[in-house]
Amino acid sequence: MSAGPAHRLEDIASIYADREAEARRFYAHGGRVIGVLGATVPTELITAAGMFPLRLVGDPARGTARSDAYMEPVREGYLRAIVEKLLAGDYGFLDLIVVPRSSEGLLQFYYLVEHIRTTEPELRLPALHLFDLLQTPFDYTARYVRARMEELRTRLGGIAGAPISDKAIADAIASHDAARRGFGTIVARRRTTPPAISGTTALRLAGCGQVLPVDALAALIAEAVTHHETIVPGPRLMIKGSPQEHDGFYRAVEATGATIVADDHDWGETLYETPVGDSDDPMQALVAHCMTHRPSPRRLPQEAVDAEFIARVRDAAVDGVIFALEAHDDTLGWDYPAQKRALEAIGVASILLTGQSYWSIDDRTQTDIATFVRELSR
Amino acid sequence: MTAATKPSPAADTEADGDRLAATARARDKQKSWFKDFQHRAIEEGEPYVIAAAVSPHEIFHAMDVPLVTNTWYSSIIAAKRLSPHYFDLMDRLGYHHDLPRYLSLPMMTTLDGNPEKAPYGGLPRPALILDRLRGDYAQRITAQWAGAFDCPAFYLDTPSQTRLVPDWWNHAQRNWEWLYESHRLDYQVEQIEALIGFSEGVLGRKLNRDTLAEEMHRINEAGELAAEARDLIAKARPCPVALPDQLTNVMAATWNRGSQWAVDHMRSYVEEIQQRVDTGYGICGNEKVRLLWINTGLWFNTGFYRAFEESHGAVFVWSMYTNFFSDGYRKYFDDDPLRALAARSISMNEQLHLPPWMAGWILEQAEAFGAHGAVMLTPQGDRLSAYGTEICRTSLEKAGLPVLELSASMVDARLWDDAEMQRQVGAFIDTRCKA
Ligand code: SF4
Ligand code: SF4
Repeated sequence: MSAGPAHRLEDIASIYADREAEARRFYAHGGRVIGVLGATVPTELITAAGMFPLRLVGDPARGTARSDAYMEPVREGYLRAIVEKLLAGDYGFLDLIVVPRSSEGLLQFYYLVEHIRTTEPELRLPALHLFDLLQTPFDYTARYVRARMEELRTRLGGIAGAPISDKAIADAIASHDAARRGFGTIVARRRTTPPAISGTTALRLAGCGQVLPVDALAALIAEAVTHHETIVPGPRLMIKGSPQEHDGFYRAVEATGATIVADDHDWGETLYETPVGDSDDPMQALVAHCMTHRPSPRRLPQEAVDAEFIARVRDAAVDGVIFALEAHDDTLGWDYPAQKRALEAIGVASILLTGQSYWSIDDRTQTDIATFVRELSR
Repeated sequence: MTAATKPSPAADTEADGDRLAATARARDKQKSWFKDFQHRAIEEGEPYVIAAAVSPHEIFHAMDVPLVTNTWYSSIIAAKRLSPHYFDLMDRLGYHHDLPRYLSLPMMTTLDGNPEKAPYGGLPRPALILDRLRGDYAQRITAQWAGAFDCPAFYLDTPSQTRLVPDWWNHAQRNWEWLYESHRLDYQVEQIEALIGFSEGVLGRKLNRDTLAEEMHRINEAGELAAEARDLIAKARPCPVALPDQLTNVMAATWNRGSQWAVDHMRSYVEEIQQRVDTGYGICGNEKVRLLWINTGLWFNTGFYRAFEESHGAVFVWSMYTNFFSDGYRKYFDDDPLRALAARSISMNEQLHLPPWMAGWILEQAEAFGAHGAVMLTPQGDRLSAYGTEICRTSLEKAGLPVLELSASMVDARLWDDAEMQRQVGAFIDTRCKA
């Protein structure tokens, strides 16, 4: 895949603001673009097939006029927003959308959209592929996931017009791992005292990585490591919880004088944390990585996931953690009491913000954040 | 279908006067089941299992191991009006308000550590908690509950159906290998084998696979009788059996599935319905409108199902419990009971809750029962139960079946506003359900 035009650091904000532009350019030049949802699709396979993996993102400004006819209001905001775009015909340039089974919401998205696609063919929705990623830590589950990943590989090869070789997969893993290591240098720079990169910039860069060809990401990161933002020392925060698909929440937090030096959700630094690594069996390495090392609410066991969280809190010398949970959260809230206790045990403050809207940040949230940061600054 | 019918003998007697004799026997069975459980597991400390409602109980039945479902204990807590006490505890422990609370009530009795308060003195430590990982949160509750008990948990993962053929119920009994997709069944069998090995270890008992096979055949036999009962009720005008009777009888057979009792019970249930049909007996002498009840049952207020007979001549004739046992549980097999068992629970929730499976099945029932409308109950603040309801509702409406959606809390009976709910259903019958 050609890396396209080189990006410069100043481009981060604009790439982030229009996260489909690069893929549309690729498509306009005759390339094939594969949409993915969530953080657990093995995009390395798409890269290996010479195609463009594009993580889909909703647009809060577009509302839900179309999707409301199909989706209950309690569904995940980002999924309602993506269905809105699907129904509006935004995704005609995709050859396929890969939906991983890494949350119930995603699985239900697959069934819903597949139903609309087959009963309303005039909408011409792109084809969907369910990647049935299961995450129980058993040998038989890993064998099951391996078979599902081979199916995905075959389907992608069919779209690309040629089977995907082991060698191509190994090369793609190496490229993605190089970008992951590069992102590690960004993480190190947000951890310094004072931080050299704001949380908002780090979030945008992490987001760019989901919508750029992997080589372009590596180049952008190489630029970013030389970048230095002047950050007035303030409380060091971590954002944890529901996906932060847009930067509004980060901007609101950092406007109070705090800096987000770490995060733990599926649009943040944890996307790039663990490399897949070299392996004689690259498919198997990808299986293990998708099952255990990509952000997902179904990772098991929870104690191991929580231990990683606390290690990150310590590593980043965090003063406070903001748990931000979307409205109608039925999942992450179960983890919170134990996580809060673990934070208390190491003397780290936290605040729980529930009922967060995908569409906007309400006044109460703004006030709660400001109060929390003020107390930390004392 | 306003056939002139004999007035109901219930007319001047108590509301429950038209109850089937089988219903009393089903209730007795549930009582004796509980006595047995209480004696063995609570008093004698025999190893027992807590299992998810949709999971292969058959294995433990065949091993003669006492088993309760977390949902059963939740319903007891709710029925004893103890939910508010445990909600307070959840608040104090930091579980936020949006969380669906029904499944966590049993865990709260354990975290509370107050046996005086908990129904039956609280559940003792089980040998094992078995969970099936539908949704994203049951695994969390189970892990924390097992932690509080200091007992092992076993998780059955849920491989996903990739294609939803429209008429699952025509394939689910004999053509299930094709319906549920072989790769999923292969995996499910591996999981069940692992569960058997694990359970034999912690329970110190061996599963006799011949016993399991016999049980599986008996489930099919009881399921055939449930199908007969369903067909009798569907065809009869007026409706011969009230919905609460249908629920009690079929649920008792479902929970005791595999036993000879369940087969015998379903047979006597069918015979009693047949007698009523033969004499033209109807539960409502003034039957004009026939309704389906969709989704969650109203366990704490089954009288609601009958509240529109006198006022509107409207009878609830069907809910999924009427024939889910016959359509969903029966799995015929030649030589591999384990694979048939795998097929039973693998898509249970999808069949009941996923469009197009849910909508297709309900339309089939609407036709068979000659229904004029449907009332759909959606639990409030419960994302998992809400998924798919919108498209199901619109599909049914498009197909010509009027649907009223009611939204209510399922965990706190105090929040059920009976007058308002009756008003909504009454208005729905008046304006949209024309016989
Ligand atoms: S209308 Fe129905 S409920 Fe009312 S008295 Fe007649 S039979 Fe009984
Ligand atoms: S009705 Fe649905 S949610 Fe309730 S136990 Fe049955 S399958 Fe589960």
